[in-house]
Amino acid sequence: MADNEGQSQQTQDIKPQDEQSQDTAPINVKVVSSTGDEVFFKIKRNTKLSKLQGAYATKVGKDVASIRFLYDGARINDDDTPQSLDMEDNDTIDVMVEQVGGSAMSSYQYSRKS
Amino acid sequence: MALLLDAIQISILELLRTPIPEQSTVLVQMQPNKCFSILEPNEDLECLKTRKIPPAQWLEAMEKAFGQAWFDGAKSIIDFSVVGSRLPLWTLTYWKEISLVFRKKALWNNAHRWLARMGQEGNLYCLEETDQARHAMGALCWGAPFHAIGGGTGPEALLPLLSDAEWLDDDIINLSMRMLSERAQLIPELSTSTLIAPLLFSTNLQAASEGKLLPHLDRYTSFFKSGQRKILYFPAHVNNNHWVAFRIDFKRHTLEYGDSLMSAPKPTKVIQAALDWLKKNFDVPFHNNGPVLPHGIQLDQNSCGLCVVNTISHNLFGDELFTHGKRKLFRINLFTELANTQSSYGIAPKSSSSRSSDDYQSLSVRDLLAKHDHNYVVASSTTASDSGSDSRGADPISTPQIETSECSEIDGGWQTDETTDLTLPPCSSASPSPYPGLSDDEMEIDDNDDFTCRVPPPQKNRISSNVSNKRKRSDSAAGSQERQNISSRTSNKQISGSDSSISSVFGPTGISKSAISERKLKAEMKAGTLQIDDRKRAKYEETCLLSDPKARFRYEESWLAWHSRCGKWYKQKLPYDTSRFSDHVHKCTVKGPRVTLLGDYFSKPKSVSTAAVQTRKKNDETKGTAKENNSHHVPAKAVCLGITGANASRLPTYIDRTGAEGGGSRSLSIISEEHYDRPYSTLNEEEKLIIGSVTLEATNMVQTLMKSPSEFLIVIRETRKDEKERRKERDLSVLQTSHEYQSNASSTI
Repeated sequence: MADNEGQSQQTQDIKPQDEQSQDTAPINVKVVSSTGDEVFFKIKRNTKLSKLQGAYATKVGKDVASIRFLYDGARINDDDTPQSLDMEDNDTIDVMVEQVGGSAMSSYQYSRKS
Repeated sequence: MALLLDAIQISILELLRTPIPEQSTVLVQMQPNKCFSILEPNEDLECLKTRKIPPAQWLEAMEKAFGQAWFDGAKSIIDFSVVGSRLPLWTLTYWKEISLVFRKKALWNNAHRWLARMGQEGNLYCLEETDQARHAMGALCWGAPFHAIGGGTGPEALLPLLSDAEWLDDDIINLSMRMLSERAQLIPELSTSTLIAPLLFSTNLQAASEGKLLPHLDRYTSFFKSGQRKILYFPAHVNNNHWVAFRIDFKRHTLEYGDSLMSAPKPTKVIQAALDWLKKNFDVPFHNNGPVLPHGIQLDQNSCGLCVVNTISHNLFGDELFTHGKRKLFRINLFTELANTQSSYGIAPKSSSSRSSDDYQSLSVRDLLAKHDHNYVVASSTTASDSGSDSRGADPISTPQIETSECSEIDGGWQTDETTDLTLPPCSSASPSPYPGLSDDEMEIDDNDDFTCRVPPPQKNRISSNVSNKRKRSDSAAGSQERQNISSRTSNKQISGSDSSISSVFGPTGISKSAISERKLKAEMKAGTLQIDDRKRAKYEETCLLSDPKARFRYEESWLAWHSRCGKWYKQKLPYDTSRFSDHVHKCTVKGPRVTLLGDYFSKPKSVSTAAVQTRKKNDETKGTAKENNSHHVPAKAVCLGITGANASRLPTYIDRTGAEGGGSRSLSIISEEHYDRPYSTLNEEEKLIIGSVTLEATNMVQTLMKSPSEFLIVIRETRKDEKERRKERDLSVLQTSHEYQSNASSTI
């Protein structure tokens, strides 16, 4: 994750700025990974955040299903938009990678055991 | 089949019962681009029922080749499995969808088989648990998103629990922490002393030790600095392959953990991160006690997730400690408990439904039959790609339903003192926060005793100077709203301060019994001499619990009731008066997995206020739009399982007693009137015995029904014959009597 997210402070335009109405005015959203790396997105208020999730997953080279996006501590649903979540300019989305656990054995120990 | 694809809300057990064509695994030699034909299709939907689904790789290749084939004028797909068969183009979409159903069914089938094996292979000790797990599977919708997890995740996220050796992932651990937190909230001692944090806490803890500044950790810091809770439990992901449970005691200033794998290396990274955080933010030094937290021991390589949940539940609630021999039982039990969290949400708003479910509804075969249009396939097959974004973005967005009038009603809301242990006190307004992600509203709440701190400060502590106009407007609106609340509260206080002023302003004082007792209660309440009647209080609690089964109560200067859905305390008008709370519960529109419990996922206090203000603003401006949004909140169908022994242990006893003798049987006096034309009390012993045997006959009939329905039918027929004959006799006697009466009457005339 850290390898791919090394390029911090980058901005991606998800959608061209064609309308300047209140609802569709773009906002800047900061996506912060668990390692603290930041990626900035400019996104319309009524664009589904699933698109941002897909763009971020592509950027960091991960499967979108293996990444958890959280806003204010709660998981973001695919249908959510900045408008529905009351997001403001420069708000932060936290990213957590999928974690699985079963034992604390190192891979060397595990291979010996099996 | 159309019904199947439409019914994404059917239960998992029902899905397992539904026949679905199998997916073929043959190697298709035909090139995908040669599988399209410019000829018209010569097959219809019916033939698909009996044919296997093509292999997944071939379907993917066909999907890629479809665009160009369509441009080339393709009108049908050549089915490689049947000679000369040409299927309509939309069959491709159908295959994609049905293969998804097939995959999910296969996953659940494996889990179901595993459960059946657990109940058969001499594992009789977990027979009851397997039944409960199967019952829980019957309550889960296979295609609906799992609201308790969120993020569009389906119930298949719980599948690792129904296997021998699958590792548990963060979704299950987070959900378990949430479940434990909800459980702890129902115990008064724990709800005011303990906090259970999700995985985000430990992740932030480790990031903070590396010098990263993360807003969520700052919230925890300010919360524990305020001293509202003394104990913090949290799970941590160690070494990228292990789960460990931690406890921080802020009273004894200790850090402890319970590692289920004895041979595992120390989780030094997390320990050091936690100690760094404590050292930096709390003046008192904390001592690392090591692995002294009571915990179960795992002897395999896959039970640490279970052990983490069990360690916390054992230390909090005294649950049975994990043992290796019962590991499968623990897995089944955890699955049942987590699956039940979904059903506890009840009706779910459609806004939280996943993309897959939406697509599913739009891609049903019924729709396909209605739209024999090749463009339809193009649009549907590219929903996941960027090309569909514009239309998706223009879709009406379902916003959380928050009643606009609720804002003014919140006198026990998050602004008040009563919510101090339920909502997180955010960063102090005096210290500027370096995190632009934190909202201003959260910044504004400070020490709850300081009333003026609730008013938004003139200078915002945001790093970004580019604050949008809308934001400013919402701030000012929130500020004015708070000022209104404050003024209304103070005016209420003035009014309730003197009864004489009330009478002078609002007319003469009521002299009815209720008005007098109301005044008396008020006066006693004010003077602090109210003696609570336990019976009345029990009735009051019972009435409130009918509206909200998770409601909590406080008996202070004024009586307060806590609504579990929106997480706010509501001040009752009078002691024993539930009207305000009941009114709120009926009006409250906060639905779905709105988390108000501290410790699992922090609820956003600001979203309640700003969303309410925004919703009100929107309603003022465009009421039509709001209605349109509301109309999209279609309640999801829930599976009704009926009432079984799982709901209440005494239920089978009640059902058995339904046909008991006595209750509902015929009156003895009526039977004696029928047989002897005399009251029962005047009968002699022998006659009474005969009457008793008649009632016994009725009882025997019920018992016969239970034993052999055929015999029962014979008895019923005979009884009906007897009754008919009796009725005939009765009619004849009535006729004779009437004739006699008429003849007597005519003779007297």
